[in-house]
Amino acid sequence: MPERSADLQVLARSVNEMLILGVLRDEEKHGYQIALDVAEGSAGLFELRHGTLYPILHRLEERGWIRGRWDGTKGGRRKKVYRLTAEGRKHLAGEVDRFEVLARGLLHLVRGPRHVSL
Amino acid sequence: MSRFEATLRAVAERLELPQPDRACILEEIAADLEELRMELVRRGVDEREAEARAVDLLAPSETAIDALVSVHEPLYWSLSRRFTRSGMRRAERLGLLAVTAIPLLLALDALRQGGVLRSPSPFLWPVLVTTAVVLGLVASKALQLYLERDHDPGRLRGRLGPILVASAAAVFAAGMGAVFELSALVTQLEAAPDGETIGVFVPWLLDTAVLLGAGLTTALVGGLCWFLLQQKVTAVEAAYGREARLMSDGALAPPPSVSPHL
Repeated sequence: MPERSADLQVLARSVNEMLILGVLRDEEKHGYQIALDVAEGSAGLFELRHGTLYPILHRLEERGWIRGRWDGTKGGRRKKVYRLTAEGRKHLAGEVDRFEVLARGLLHLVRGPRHVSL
Repeated sequence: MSRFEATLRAVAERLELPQPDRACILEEIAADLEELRMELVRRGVDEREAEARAVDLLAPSETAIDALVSVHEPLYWSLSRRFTRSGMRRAERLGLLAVTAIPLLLALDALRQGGVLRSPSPFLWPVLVTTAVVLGLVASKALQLYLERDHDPGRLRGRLGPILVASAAAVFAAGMGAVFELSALVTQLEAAPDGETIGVFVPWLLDTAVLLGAGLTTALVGGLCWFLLQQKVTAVEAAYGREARLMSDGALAPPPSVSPHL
C-alpha cells in the first residue's frame, strides 16, 4: 500500500509539473497567472491551491525546465516571471507522450478497445 | 500597511532559509498575492472576496513551505541534520586548517627550493604568521557566508575588519623589515672590503624582495577577499531590508536562526 501511494504521489507531481510547463508553452507568465491559467484552462478540474505552485515552480527552475527573471522597476515592487526553456519544452513533449500512452492504456482497459479515442 | 502582512508573516516564520533566498521567495509571493487580488477586482470580484481568494490560491500551506525549504535548503544544513554537531565542527576545523596551512606550506616549499630560506630576514616569520592569520580569517568567514550560510544579522559583519587589519599588519611588518634590513646593509657595505660589496648586496636584495613580496601579496589577497566578502554581506543585508519592507513596520519575526547548528 505505501508503494502505491508513493506512485500516486509521483503521478500527481508529474501532472502538476506538466500543467505548469503547459501553461508556459506560449509565453512567459507571473506565478499568479500560472495558477489562474491552470484553474481556468482546465475549467476548475485542476487547481494549484494553498501555494503548492511555488515549490513546483522552484523545482522546475532548479532542473532548468523553466527560467525565472525578476521584472519591475528599481525601488518598486519586483515580480518574478517564468518562461519555458528549450529543455523544458523537450521534457514536456516527452511527458505528454507518456501520459497519452498511459491514458490510452487505461481507457483501453476500462472502456474496451473500440471506445478508445485519444 | 501590507494587505497580506499576516499571511506573509506566517510564511516568513516557517521559511527557514538563508538570505537572499528567503527574501526572494517572500517577495515573489507578496507580489503574486497583490497582483492576483488586483486582477480579481478588475474582473468585478468584491475586494474582500478577491483578497480571500488570492490567499486561498497562493498563500503557501505549511506543507508547501516545507517543500519550498527542501528545494532551497543549503547542502550544509541538510548535512548538519545527518551528522552530530561535534562531528561537523571537527570537519570544519580540519578544513580550515587545511585551507590555511596548504597554501602557506606550498609557498614555504617554493621559497626553500629557490634557496631563499637559507638566511631569511627575521622579519619574514612575522609576515608569514600574519599571512596565516589572513588566510584563516578569510577561510572562516567564507565558510560562514557561503557554506554554513549563517546569515544572522548579529554575526554578519563579524571578522570582516580583522581581515583588513591583518592584511595591513603584513605590509607593515614587511615594510619595517625592509627598513631594518636596509640599515643593516649600509653597515655591512661600510665594513665590506672593496670588490666584495656585490656579495653583500645581492643576498640583501633577494631577502628584501621576498619579504616585501610576501607582505604585499598577503595584503593584496586579503584586501581582495575582504572586498568579495563585503559584497556578499551587503547583498544579504539588502535582502533583509527588502524582507522588512514587505511588512509595514519592518519588524519582522526574527530571521530563522540560520543553520540548525548555530
